[in-house]
Amino acid sequence: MTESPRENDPLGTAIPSKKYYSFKLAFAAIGIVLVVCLIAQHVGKWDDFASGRTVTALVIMGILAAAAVAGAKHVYKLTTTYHFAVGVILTTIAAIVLGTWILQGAPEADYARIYGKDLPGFFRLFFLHDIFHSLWFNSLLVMMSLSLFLVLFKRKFYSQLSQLGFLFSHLGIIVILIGALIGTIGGGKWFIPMRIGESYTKAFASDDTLLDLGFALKLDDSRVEFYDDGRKIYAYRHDSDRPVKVVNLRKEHGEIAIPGTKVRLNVIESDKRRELPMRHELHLPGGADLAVEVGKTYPLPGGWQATILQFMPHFNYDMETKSAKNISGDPVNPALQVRIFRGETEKKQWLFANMPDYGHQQNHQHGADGTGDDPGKLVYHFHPPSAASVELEIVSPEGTKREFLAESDSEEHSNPLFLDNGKVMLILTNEPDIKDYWSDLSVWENGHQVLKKTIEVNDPLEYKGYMFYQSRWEATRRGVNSGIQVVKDPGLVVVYAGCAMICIGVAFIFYVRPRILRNKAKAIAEG
Amino acid sequence: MFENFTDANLWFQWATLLYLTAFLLFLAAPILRNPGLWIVATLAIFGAFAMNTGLIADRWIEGGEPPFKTRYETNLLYPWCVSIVFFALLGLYRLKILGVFSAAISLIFFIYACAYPDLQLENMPPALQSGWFVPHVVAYFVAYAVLFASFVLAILALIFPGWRNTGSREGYEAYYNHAVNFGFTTLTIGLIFGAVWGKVAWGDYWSWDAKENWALITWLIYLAVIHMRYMSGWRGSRAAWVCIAGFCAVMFTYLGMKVLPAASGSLHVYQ
Repeated sequence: MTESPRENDPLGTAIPSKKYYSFKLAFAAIGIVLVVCLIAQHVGKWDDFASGRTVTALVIMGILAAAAVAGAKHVYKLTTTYHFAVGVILTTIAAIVLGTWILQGAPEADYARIYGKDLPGFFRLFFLHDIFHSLWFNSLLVMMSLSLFLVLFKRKFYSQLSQLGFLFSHLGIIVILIGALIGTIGGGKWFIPMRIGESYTKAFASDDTLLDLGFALKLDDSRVEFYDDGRKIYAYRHDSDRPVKVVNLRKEHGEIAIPGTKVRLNVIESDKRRELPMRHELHLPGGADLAVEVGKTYPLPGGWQATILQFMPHFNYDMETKSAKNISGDPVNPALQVRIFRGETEKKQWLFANMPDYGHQQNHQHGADGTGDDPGKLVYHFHPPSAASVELEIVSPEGTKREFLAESDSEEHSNPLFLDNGKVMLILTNEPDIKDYWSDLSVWENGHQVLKKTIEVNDPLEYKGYMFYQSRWEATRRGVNSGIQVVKDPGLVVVYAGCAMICIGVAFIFYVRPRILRNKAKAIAEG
Repeated sequence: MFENFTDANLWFQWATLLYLTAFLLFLAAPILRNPGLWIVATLAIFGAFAMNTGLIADRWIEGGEPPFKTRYETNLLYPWCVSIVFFALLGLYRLKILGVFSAAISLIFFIYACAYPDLQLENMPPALQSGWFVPHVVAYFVAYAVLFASFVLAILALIFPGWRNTGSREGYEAYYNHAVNFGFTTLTIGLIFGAVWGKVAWGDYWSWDAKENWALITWLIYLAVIHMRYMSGWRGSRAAWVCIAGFCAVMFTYLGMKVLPAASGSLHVYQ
């Protein structure tokens, strides 16, 4: 295998002819395979295996395979050289590097925006926009497996104890790739958005196909725990887009300096309320936010207009009189009545701050972009007339003064305080981080509960070959949405076995094999 | 930055000063040819390591969680690992020349941490609350530290190809190969720990995530380095250059993810 075989191969193996020890030859062979696979992927219509194009593509690949079989001896000699192994490794490295620098699987608009008009076409030509699922990339994995497999026989890694590490490490990679293939063919990934008290027998794949689980999965309960950090003041400087200071109101005491500025703060009282004007906002189709007032008319996308008719802080529907009425002045169920019109078409509807989906009726046959008979989904945000705040004493070049800093309820709806001619901005928030979230799941078959488990991230539920992972958690006004990822992977044990083999093999090569060889050499010298 | 330094706790301040002291002493020792300076320098870096240990422990106690999740926290962990690796190589092979480089890189990381400190003790998100977190991170940072040593030794092999250790008669090439062996082993363990953890946490042992890809790239580079040892004409300076390139990939994997277009979607990238 090397120019000096005895030096690095004391056990003695068959030595191929030197012409195969060539990077040029190795890269040429790799290149031919990649090009054939690229052509085959372009020619084939891979969602229809019976089509003529796919058959043609398979024939092209079949010709390559036949050529390899016909020249098996040369293929064997080439693929078992270090040059070929390193060539495949370097090509794989280059492919993966490309896969990290070029967006993968992104919407077309993103490619045009980031790379301009011409490059996206080039990417599509070589499948650089989806490298890891491309035929040419996967052919690199096949070539790697082939090389690893053939070299086992070439070097006879199974013949001696000292070669065990090479056997395990080389075979381990093949075993992992086999396990991954088994998982890809026989497994899959789905998702179930679950609500408390509801049972599900089906899960959704990313292509919207459904998986029938064969049993029911019920979300009995779901809980979240937050870190109790208390409220924090974030200080921003005009020349920085990230905060320069975070003040934890529970921990910081005394005078607080804002780095890089001449502003200092003292917290006078950390628990006050500040009166602010009540605000109504509509979130429009397309993503824009619109501040609205009762009695005024506003344009919407698609040529629609909306007139804000009335506001009820505590909306209630009276079933007897069949009418809506406001039952208190507290913002318990804020609702905004809007009249939406375009030309002759008009309708009135109520939008509810606590139920953002309710206002969008069944008129969604044309989507949410306002181009059909429906203006699209309008979401109503209500901002109450007071907010928790902090009283601060501020020392700045402008002098010393007291100010209130009101709490901001989100990044979009903030109540910042500007200081030092706008050079410093303070924001008060009370958005605790999630510490953990759990879902109590039960499995039901034929009306009987057969399994119950509380899952969390890092602790899934397993049943009949399916794993159920706590993937997402969201509290909405309609309740808790617990996102459960469903995974089936029949190849997992094989992958794990391969991982263990690689670990054992690598450690063996570097730390056990030298000892075995030393002992052998010592025995030979003594004997 | 000076303000950040004065605001930092005593562990941080002393660790920084001692790494600086160790660096200056290691730099002066071969120039002044004073054997005592080597000892003092080694004691200084040991002192810095002790302060570094205290800093990590203090943060761990204050937060109640392993402090390895933000860039700042790993900026404190990496010098700690580099110091341990230096002590190991000093003990095994008497490679005291590594001291100046170990102290230098530790100081650089502390200066960077000083310039960009965490504004607050970040809370541990649910995904990181796993028994795999510490083994995965520590395996990787030990690997990064060992591969730093291989990087330095590869550069020294290029500059001083004929140097031999007085005791073992091995040259820098042999030493960087030893370092690559251990670094590759711990990289492999870190990679596999990460894959297993990903499966337990999210159901995916591999998702072609940017950080995962670069971890694999790094692993493949060193795999190529190991295979090249058996190829005629690829030992010596060529192997050293590939080793240097490998460490560049290590640093990009650790610190450079943010420049990648897909980085914002990655769960691994420091935000």
